[in-house]
Amino acid sequence: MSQYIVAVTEPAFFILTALVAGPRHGYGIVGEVAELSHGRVRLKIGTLYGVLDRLVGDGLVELDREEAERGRLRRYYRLTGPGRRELAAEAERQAANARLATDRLRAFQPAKAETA
Amino acid sequence: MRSPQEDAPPRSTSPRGPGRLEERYRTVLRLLPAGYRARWEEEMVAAFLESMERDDPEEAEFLRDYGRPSWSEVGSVAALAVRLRLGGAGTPRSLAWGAAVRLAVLMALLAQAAGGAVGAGLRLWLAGVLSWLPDPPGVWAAPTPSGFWHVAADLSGVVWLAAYLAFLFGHRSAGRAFIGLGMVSLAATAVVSTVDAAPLAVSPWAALLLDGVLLLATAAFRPDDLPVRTRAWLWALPVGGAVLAALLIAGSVASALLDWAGLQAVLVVAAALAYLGGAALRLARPTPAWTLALLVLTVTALALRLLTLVDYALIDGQAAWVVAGAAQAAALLAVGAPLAFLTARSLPRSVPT
Repeated sequence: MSQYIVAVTEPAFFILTALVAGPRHGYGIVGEVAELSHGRVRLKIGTLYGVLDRLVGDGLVELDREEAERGRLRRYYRLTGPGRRELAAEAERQAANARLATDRLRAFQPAKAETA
Repeated sequence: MRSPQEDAPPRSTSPRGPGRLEERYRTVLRLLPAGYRARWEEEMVAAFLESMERDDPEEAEFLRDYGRPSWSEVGSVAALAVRLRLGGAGTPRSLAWGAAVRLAVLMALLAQAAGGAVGAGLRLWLAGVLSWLPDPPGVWAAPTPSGFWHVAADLSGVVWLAAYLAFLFGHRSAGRAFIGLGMVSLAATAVVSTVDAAPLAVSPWAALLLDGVLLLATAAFRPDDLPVRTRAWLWALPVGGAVLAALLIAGSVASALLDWAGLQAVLVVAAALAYLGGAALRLARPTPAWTLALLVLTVTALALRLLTLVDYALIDGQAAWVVAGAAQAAALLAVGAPLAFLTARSLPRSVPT
């Protein structure tokens, strides 16, 4: 199995992160992602289900349960083991990139660059 | 654990029955492939309606009866539909469509890139910048319009070269940005032609429309695609440029009635004939993706040819151009028919879900 089963786009990253704390249904994921990203990422329903379809197809997310809420279907999804590992790997990759940039910025601060 | 793919859920509506808002959203969802809708429609509707809920009962009632999905919601469904139909659904048919559209986009960009490079080269040659080349023939001796904007417009074709290289090397966003840049230049030409009531005013709008289609078609390029065979496509660039330059020079010397739409028609017919000939002589095995890609290009070139013929039909004394254009359209139809037949035979059928 390749290290990255799917290209972890920003929406996919936030959806996986939203499911770490427990199962959520579609609109619950939208709300959680908005909260996690401080309102920066506002998933449209078409975007959410495009990503969710791929995540379910790749085995990173699976159906947890179904509920009927005021006559409407609610399906709850949860993170699978491979999904958790994929998210951890992606988070580590992003953190390593961030560390790299931070180290570079520290090493080449304008004042130091001028005196060098 | 059961996955949502295994069965379709019962139809989910509000306790009071579907309102106009729900019906409108379901209409938008019809853009999606049937198999995908069967799996996800009810959940998407439920999530959408939940996103439109309001605390104020009056506002909720109003939205239920008069609300519409926002343009951004419609856009997200439309984008999903394009992705699914061009390979994202994972069915053999959608994968074949995705591969075909990617090939068609690359071939169209190749033609634009070669055209842009040859056009820019021609401009520099006529301006005397390329002094190591022989002087241009007498028929081209007429002074070319100078000034910053004219020169910039003539050289702007090289952005297509950048777009082509960007897609070859997997930089999809940059590629789309370069196509957008190319369209800006074309849009300026189209607006100026219309404002000045210049002859051939329909042609730039037709070209702009098809470039918009090309931009939309780049949705077929996705992060998890197989890598493009870069070397072969890179070699195609100088070959395509040489063919275009030869056609332009030969056409000019022979005073052939060949405009940009006609040139594209000739190139597509030549490519289709080579492909169909190779298949008939069993030199190369036709594939669904290449057959469909050539069919897509044939239809596109035919649309451009017919739209641009309007210009000539509106101007007196251009009967010869109309006849030449009609002949090019007929040639496109002639190669399009066997390509359509081959496509119908070879394209995988939709799998009922």
